[in-house]
Amino acid sequence: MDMEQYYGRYEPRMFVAVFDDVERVPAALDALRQVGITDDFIQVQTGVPYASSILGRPRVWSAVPKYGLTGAVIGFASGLFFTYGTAWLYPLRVGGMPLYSVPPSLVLLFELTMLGLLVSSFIGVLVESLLPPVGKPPVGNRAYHPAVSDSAIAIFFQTSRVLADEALKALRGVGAHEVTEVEGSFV
Amino acid sequence: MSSEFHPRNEAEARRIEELKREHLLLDHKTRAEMNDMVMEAVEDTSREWKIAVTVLGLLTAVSLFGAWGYMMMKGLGLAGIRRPIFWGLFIVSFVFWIGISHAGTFVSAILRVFKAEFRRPFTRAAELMTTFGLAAAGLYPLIHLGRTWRFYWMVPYPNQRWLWPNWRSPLLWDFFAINTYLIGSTLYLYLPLIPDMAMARDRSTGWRRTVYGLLALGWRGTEQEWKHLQKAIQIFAWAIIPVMFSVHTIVSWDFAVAMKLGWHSTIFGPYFIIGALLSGIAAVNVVLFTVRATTKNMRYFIRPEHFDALGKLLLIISLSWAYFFFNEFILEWYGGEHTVKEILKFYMFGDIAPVWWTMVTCNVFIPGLLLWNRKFRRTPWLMFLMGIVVNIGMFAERYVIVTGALSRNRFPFDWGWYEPKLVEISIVFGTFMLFLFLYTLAARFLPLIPVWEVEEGQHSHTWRRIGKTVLPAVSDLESLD
Repeated sequence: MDMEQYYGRYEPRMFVAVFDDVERVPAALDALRQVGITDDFIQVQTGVPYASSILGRPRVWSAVPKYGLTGAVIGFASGLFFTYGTAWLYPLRVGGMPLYSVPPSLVLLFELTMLGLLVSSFIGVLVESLLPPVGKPPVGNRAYHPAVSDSAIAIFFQTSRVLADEALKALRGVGAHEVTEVEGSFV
Repeated sequence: MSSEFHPRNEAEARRIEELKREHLLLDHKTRAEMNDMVMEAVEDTSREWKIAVTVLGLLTAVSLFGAWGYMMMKGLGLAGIRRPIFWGLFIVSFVFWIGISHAGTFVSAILRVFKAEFRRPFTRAAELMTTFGLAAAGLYPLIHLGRTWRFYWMVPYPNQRWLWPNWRSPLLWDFFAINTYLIGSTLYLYLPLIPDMAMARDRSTGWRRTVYGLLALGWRGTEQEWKHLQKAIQIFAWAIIPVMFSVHTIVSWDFAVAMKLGWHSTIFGPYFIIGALLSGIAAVNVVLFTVRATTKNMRYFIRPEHFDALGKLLLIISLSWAYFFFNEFILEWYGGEHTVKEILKFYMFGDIAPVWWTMVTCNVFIPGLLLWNRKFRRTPWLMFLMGIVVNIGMFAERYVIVTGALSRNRFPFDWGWYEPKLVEISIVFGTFMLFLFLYTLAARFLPLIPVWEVEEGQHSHTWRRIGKTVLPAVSDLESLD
C-alpha cells in the first residue's frame, strides 16, 4: 500500500442515507454514533421542520432574535434622529409649538423600530443559514438530495473509508432505502 | 410520521371516512402527491388564463395608468373634489385597500400565533392579498397628490436649505406606516415561501427552475435552516400584528387628528381597525372561492370547513363592527352638538342616505342574519357572495366617512355635495383590475398552498379512540424544541 492509498483510507468522504419515515431516523442516527461518527459530522435534511427532540439530535440554537433586537435598536435610533436630531440640527421655531414634541414622535419611533426588527430578522435568517450559497446553482457546492422536498429524510454524514462500510451496513439495517456516496459539503 | 389507525368495525371506518372528507389535515396524502397537485396548478397556464391576464393587464394599463397620466397632464381639476369636499374617491379607495390588506396579516399572523390549525392551506392566498392590496393602496397617496412628481418631498432627507419633512404630519406617518407594513408583510409572505420555492425548483425545468432556484436561495431543509426560518416566522407573526394595527390606526388619524366634526373622534382608531378586518376577512372568502373554482386541485386543499371557520370569524367581526359603529354614532348624537346632528341627519336622511343604509345593511343586517346558519357558511359560493356584499358595505362606509362628513360643516353656506368624475371612477376601477391582474399572475407562478405547512399539520393530526368512538387528536409539534 503506497502513501496515497494509506492516507486515502482516512480522507473524509460524504455519504447520504435516505429514509421515508421519520420514525426510523433516531435509530439510524444512533447506529451512526455507535459506529463512531459524532453529531458534528452528521447533517439531517427534511421537507418539514422536525424538532431536535424528535430526531434525537443536539438542540439547535438560533441567533435570529439577536439580529432582530439589534435591528430594532438601530430602527429606534434612526427614529430618534429623524424626530429629535433633525429638529436639533435645524431648529425651526414656531410660536407656541414645542421644538421637540413627544406624542407625534412616538409614531415614527414605533414604525422605525418595527421596521428595523423585521428587516434584520429576515437578514438574520439569511446570514445564519448562510443563504444564498456561493457556487453552482441551485445549492452551490453543498450536499443535497432532491427527495427531501418530497418529504424524504436525508441523513448526510462524513466519514473515512475505514468506517464507511460499517456505517452503510448499519443504515441499511435500520431501513434506509438509499445509501450512497455523494459529493458536496455541509455548508 | 406514522399515522396508521385501524378501525375496529364498519361504524368506525365510516366515521373516519366522514372526518377525512371534512378535514384536510386528517385526509392524508403523501407529500409527493401534494407537491404534484400544487405544481400542476402552478404550471397550468391555459389559453383562458392567458386571455384573462391580457384583458386584466390592458384594463389596468388603460383605466388606471392611462387615466392617471391624463389627470397628471390636465390637472387635479378633472376630479370631482371641490370645496368643501377635498377628499373624494381616491381617499375612499386608499382606506378601502388598506383595509383589504389587513386580511393576510390577520388570517396568517394572528391565527398562527393562536395555532389555529385551519389556517394552514390558505395563509399564503391571504398574505398575497396583503401585498397586492398594499400595492393598490400605496398608489393613492401618489394619485391624490395631483403633482405626483413632488412625491419625493415625503422621503426623509433634507432639502437644499436643510429643512426636513414635517415629522408631525399624519401624511408622513402614513408614509412610514405603509412602507413598514409593505416591507414587513412582503418579507412575511416570502419567508414561508422559501421551502416551497425549493420544492418548485426540484420539480421544474427550464426558466421556471432558474427563477425558483434563485428565489429558493439554495434552501436544502437542514436543521439549522428550519430553526432559523421558524424563529423568524415566529418573530414576524408577533411583530406584524402591532404593525398592522398601527397602519390602520394611523390611517384613521388622518381623519381624527383634524378638528373636523364627524371625524374628530377618539374611537376612530379601533373603529377603523375592526372595519379593516371585516372587509379583509370578507375578501379572503372571495379570493378563496375564486382560487378554488379556477385553479386545478384546489378543492382538495380548500374545503367547506375553511369557509365555515372564516364565516364564524366574519360574523364575530361584523358584530364587533356594529358595536363600534353604534358607539361612534350614538355618542356623537347624544353629545347634542348642532353641526354633528346635521351630519348624522345627512347620513340617515340626506342625499347620501342610500349609501349609509347600504353600509348598515351590508355590514350588519345581512351578515348578522345569514352567518348564523352553518349550511350557509359551508357553501362556498354563498360565502363568496357574502364577501362581495360586505365589501360593498365597507366601501360605502368609507365613502360616507370621507365625503359625507366633509359635505356638512359649521357654515351652511359652505355645505356641498360630491360627485365622482369619470377619471376618478376609472382610476378606482383600474386599481381593482391591478389587484386582480397581480393576483392572477401570482396564482400561476407561486405555489399558492404552503405544502410544507399542510404536511406539518397532517403530521400533528392523528386518531384517538375514546370509549366507542374515534376522534381526531392534535399534537402541538410546533412547540417542541
